[in-house]
Order: sequence, then C-alpha cells, then structure tokens
Amino acid sequence: MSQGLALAGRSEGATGRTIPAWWLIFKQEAVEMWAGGRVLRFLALYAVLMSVTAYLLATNNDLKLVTMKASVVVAVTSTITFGLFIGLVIGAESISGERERATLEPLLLTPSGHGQIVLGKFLAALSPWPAAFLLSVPYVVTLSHRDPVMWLALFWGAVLGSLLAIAFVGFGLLVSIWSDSSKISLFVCLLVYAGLLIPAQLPTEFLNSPGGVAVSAVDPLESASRLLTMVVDEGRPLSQAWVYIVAPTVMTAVIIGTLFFYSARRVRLTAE
Amino acid sequence: MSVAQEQRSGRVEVAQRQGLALPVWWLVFRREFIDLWTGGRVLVLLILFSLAMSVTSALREFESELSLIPPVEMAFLTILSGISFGLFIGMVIGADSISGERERATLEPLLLTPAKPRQVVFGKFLAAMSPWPVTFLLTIPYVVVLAHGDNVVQEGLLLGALLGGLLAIAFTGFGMLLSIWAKSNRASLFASLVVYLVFLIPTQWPGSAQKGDLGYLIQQFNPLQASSEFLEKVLVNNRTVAEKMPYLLAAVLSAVGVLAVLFLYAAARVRLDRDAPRSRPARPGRLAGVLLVAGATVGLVTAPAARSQAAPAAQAAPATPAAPAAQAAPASGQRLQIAVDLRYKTVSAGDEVEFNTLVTNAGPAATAPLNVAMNIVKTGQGDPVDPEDWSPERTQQVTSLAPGESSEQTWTVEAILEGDYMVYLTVLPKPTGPNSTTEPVSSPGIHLTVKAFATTNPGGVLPVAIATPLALTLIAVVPTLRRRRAQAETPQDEL
Repeated sequence: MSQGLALAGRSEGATGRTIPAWWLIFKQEAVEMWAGGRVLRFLALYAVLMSVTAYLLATNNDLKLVTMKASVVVAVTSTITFGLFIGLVIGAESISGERERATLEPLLLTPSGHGQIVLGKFLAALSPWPAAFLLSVPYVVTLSHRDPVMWLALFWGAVLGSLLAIAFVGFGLLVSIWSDSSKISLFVCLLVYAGLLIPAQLPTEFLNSPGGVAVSAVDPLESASRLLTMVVDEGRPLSQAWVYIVAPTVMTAVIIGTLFFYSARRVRLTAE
Repeated sequence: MSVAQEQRSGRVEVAQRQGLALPVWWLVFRREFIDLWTGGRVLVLLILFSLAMSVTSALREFESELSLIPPVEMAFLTILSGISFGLFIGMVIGADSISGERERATLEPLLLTPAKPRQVVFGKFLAAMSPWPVTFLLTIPYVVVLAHGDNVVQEGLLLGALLGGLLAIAFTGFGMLLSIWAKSNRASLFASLVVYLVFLIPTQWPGSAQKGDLGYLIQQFNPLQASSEFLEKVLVNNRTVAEKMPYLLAAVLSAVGVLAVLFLYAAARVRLDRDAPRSRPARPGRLAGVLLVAGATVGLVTAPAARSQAAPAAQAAPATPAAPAAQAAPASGQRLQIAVDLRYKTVSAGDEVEFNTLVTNAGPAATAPLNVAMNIVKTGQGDPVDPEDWSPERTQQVTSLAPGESSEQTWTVEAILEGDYMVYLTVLPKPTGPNSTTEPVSSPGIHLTVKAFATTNPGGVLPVAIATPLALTLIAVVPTLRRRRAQAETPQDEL
C-alpha cells in the first residue's frame, strides 16, 4: 500500500496534478482484491448460495407453495443477506490485517491523512456489493417471469442493500480499527452478523406482535426483509412500511459518522 | 504448547520407559483443558452463550404470553437454541487448535515429541469438546423454566443431549479438520464460521420455501435443520423416533464422517507447515473429497428428476372421473347428500386437481346453513398433510337448502408432495343453538396418487443457477492458478 502512496507523490511531481490519497488507496486495494481472486472467490460462493436458493424457490413456486412475488422477495432478501457478508468480511480485515502483516506502519507514515486511508479502504471493501447485486439480477428476472414486480423488487433491493452494505462495511472497518488481529475483528463481525440472523428464526406469531415489530425494526436485516415483503409482495404503500427503513438509515448514519469523524482519525499502529 | 509442556513431554518419555506413563492424549487434553478454562477463553464464550440464551428465552417467554405458545414448543425451541449456540463454541475452539499452535510457533515442539500426531489431535479434540457438556447444563434451567412443568422436559433434555452431543462432535471435529488444513488461524476460523452461517441461512427462508421434496431434502442434508425437524416432530408433534429417523441420520452421519476423516486421515498428516509436501495418498484423498462433494451436489440437483422417472406413465394416464356422481349415503336421520365427480386420479407433484361436489337436500324440510369442509389424509405412514399447503380454500359455506335443492362447489387441490392420499369432504349443518349438535355427512373418498416433482428446470431457472456460479468459479480460478505458477517459477528465477 505504501508503494501506492509513493506513486501519489510521483504523480504530483510529474504532472503537477494532485491525485487524492484515498483514490490511490482505493485503486490499489480494489486491484489487489479483485485481481488477487479474493473477491471472485467470495462471489463464486455467493452465486452458489443464490443458485440453491433460486432453484428451491422456483421448485416451490411450481408446487404453488410460494407465490411468484414471495419468491422474488426471498431472492432479493437473500441477495442482501449474502451480499453484505462479503463487504463485512473485507472491511473487518482491512486495518487489522495490515496491522498483523506489519504493513500498516508505512501507510501511517505517509503524508496522507488517516481519514483518507480509511475512506480508500472503505470504498474498496464496498466495491463487491454492486457486483453481487448485478449477479442477482438474472435470478430475480427468472423467478419473476419478467413480471413488472421485478423492477420494484430490484429498486428496493438496490436501495436497502446499498444502505446496509455501507453500514456493514463501515462496521467491519470500525471493528478492524479497534482490533489488534484480523482473527478478532473477523470473529466479532461474524458473531454480530449471526446475531442479526437470529430474529428471523423466531416464530411468526412473535414477529407480528408489537415486541416482534420492535425487534424487526431494530434489526437491519429483518427490517429490510419486512419492508420488501410489505412493499413488493403485499403491494402496500411505503407509508405503511416506513418504520422498517428507519433502522437501516439510522444505523448507516451512526456507523459512518463514528467511522469517519471519530475512529478514522484515531487509527494507530496498535489497537490499544 | 509451552516450554513447560515440552519439558513435560520429556518427563513423559522417561515415565513411558519406566512403564508409568499416562497416555499422551490424556496429557495433551489436560494441558489444553487447563489452558482453555483457566485462560478465560471458554468462560468468555460461555458468558456470550448465556447472554444469547437469556435474550432468546426472554423473547420467547414474552411471545408465549402474547400468543399462548404451548410449553412443549417453548421447551423445544430452548433446547434447539442451546444446541445451536453450544456447538458454535466447540467449533471455534476446534478451528483454533492446530492452526493456532502453528501460528504461535508452538506446534513444532509438540510434533517433535514422541507422541503420535493422532494422539495430539485426540487430546485437543477432547479439550475442544469440553465446553459442550457445560453449555448443555447451562441450558437446563432455561428449559425447565420455559416448559412450565410440562412432562416433556426429561425426554427433551435426553434427546437434546443425544443430538447436541452428535452435532458437537461433528462441528468440533470439522473445526479441527479446517485447522489442520488451513494456512492460518484466521483462515480456519473464517471457514468454520462461514460453514456455520451457511447451515444457519436456510432458517431465514419462509416456512413455505422449505417445503416440497427439494426443501425437505435440503433439510435432511443440513445437520442443524435436520436436528431441529427431528426434535420438533418428536417432542411437539408426538412422532416416534423411528418415524423421524432420516432426520437423525444427518447428525449421526456427520459425526461419524467427520470423526473418520479427522482420525483416520487428517490426524496422521498434521504438518508443521501446511504447505509441506504431503504423502502420496493425499492427492487421491483430495480427489475423493472433491468427487464426494460433486456427487452430493449432483445428487441434490438431480434427486427430484431421478425420482420422477416413473412419472410420465402415470401422468399420461387419463384422470378418471366418477362415472356417475358418487354419493355418500346419508346417515340415519340425515337427509343431506354430498356427491363428488371424481373418484381417483394420478398426478405429478405441482399439478392442480379440480373437482366438484354437489350437496343435495333430500329431506322434506329446509336445512340449516351448511359448511362444506375438505380434508386430505395421507393413506400410508409419513408426515401428516397440512391442508393449508394443499388447497387455497378448505371450507365453503352454503346457505340453507330448500327440499330437493342442490348446491355445487368447485374445489382445487394442489399436489405438493409425492405419496398416496385420500381427499374427502364433509357437510356440517350449523347447530341451532349451544345445547344442540348436528351430524356431519361425508362424501366418498377421492384417491389421489401423487408422483414425484417432474420438472428439473422449474421456472427456467436451471441455466441461470448452473451458469452463474460456474462462470464465476472459472474466473476465480484464473488468479489462483496465475499466483501458483508465479510461486512455482520464483525459485527457478532466483537460481
């Protein structure tokens, strides 16, 4: 990474044009992740999970167990659930991994601000999300039988997924900044991710009760699922489902605020 | 393993020569056990476990008060949570056991001792398993409280201990396998957690998406889901263990399979460096593993297709409507008749069956308002039918019928699962008051034979489902191959 920043210096000197450090860090990280095959391996796993889900949904749609709209909602929800995982894991490893490989020191010694380093890494960790979402489009189109509802599902999938992807990548980076080893940051992030999957396992009776609505509204993954069900499957107006967009929005704002206005400036060679 | 442990191994060697030695696996186990428990690592995980159990139990109790969930179901859900959270601890410790030592450079002294790697792995495996009994003991108070004195507690805890024990063996062993094969501690931990999450993800799908032949097949393959299904059916739905044995098999086979691979294959091949050259049988072993996974995947995808081979003949058989409308004889004192226009039919899963009923008032007086209800029963053994899955409309109302008057109803049944079923309808006159009753009249049965789901490309999704991951895997392989080639060429260049 420090090589990239050295290039920044050269770029400035040779052309007189300043390339922002965050852009160089982003470019370097993105190239490493994509060309190194790491993101592609994640996306391949993601595609396998999406394929199994889509095949099961299509079978059950043929068996009249699931309606077409419900299967589209499950496919979009799965896109979000699986897609966020990639960003979370990459974010969780970004700073603590550099720390562990002793490559954080040269990065911190460069003249770029710490906020720029975090921004570059944040954007790089976010980069798999659009790819994951694009990969889900053929599944959604096939499952919807080209019904116009697919546009609504894709629109809300893109909005909610992007919002949550920002939040999850930001959270991964936050944990990574505060962890000395990538093992700890990965463990914490995956534990939180698993914890967010728990409410979906609670029986429907509870989730429909006021307590369940409160739990769903707080859990961003469950919120997204609820909103998609209400708007896409049940065809309800957004005014009835707005409560489920509050949690993802607030969570994203808080995480991004904490990341860039507090933690990013405090990136240190060690977490302590 | 520390220097003290190394010295201890030396002492063990001396003791072994004197015939006084304790087995090496016992020493490894004891040392690991003490490290795990006194180092506070297990305790931190147990605190997390208790927190998760407390939160989910509180939510369930709250939910129970709202929707009157029976205590037996509460006990089942609590046992299931205890198992799911508990085996997570064993898996995490297992995933760290070998790769962690490798990373901390403490594996070398361990491998240099006269102890066989298998004994080391066995000791570590037992130590990683040690939190499981404690998590299960911690689960008991939650179960007892939420069961509200129901008799299911004993049976539930017994089955929970059996299933949880099997799953703990499988998941801990799996974590250790990854730990033996992983380059870094991070990689083994990450892979373990991903596998755990993959097993957890199907629980996110709505209930209706988990049904059907494929849905049930996936449930049976997934040890977590299979165990949940087994416990629920036995504890909540009063099914026998023998009936639900296929679901128990997933846990048994996963435990046996993982133990076999761990101790018969992987344990003997623990290396200081994961990239160290392996013995020759490693390649056939890897090939066998790949073939096994590929076979399971192909089996999963083609199972519905294979079972539908016999279907075409059955599908071609024309539906045979009842020649004259079959009628149910009215019970004594009843003047209501119900006729159906179909007696038997063979269809494939996914097909719709439509038939009509004709309710006739053969009596001299007008009837009370009537309800016509449909029921579906599986004729052989197996899961009871959930009629809500099979029919969008299970009851129809008929207003009072004048003498000699008839009313026709149209019904649709969606064949969901392969099997042999009997569909019948019942006319229920409305009682005149709280102190009276009426006698229902049933129709003749409609014998429905449902063949397996015949479509291998449901909704045209198969090309997308195969092409997308295949293309991505191929693209993902390129950088890996390029990197390996570069690594292989580096020493030559240097030379």
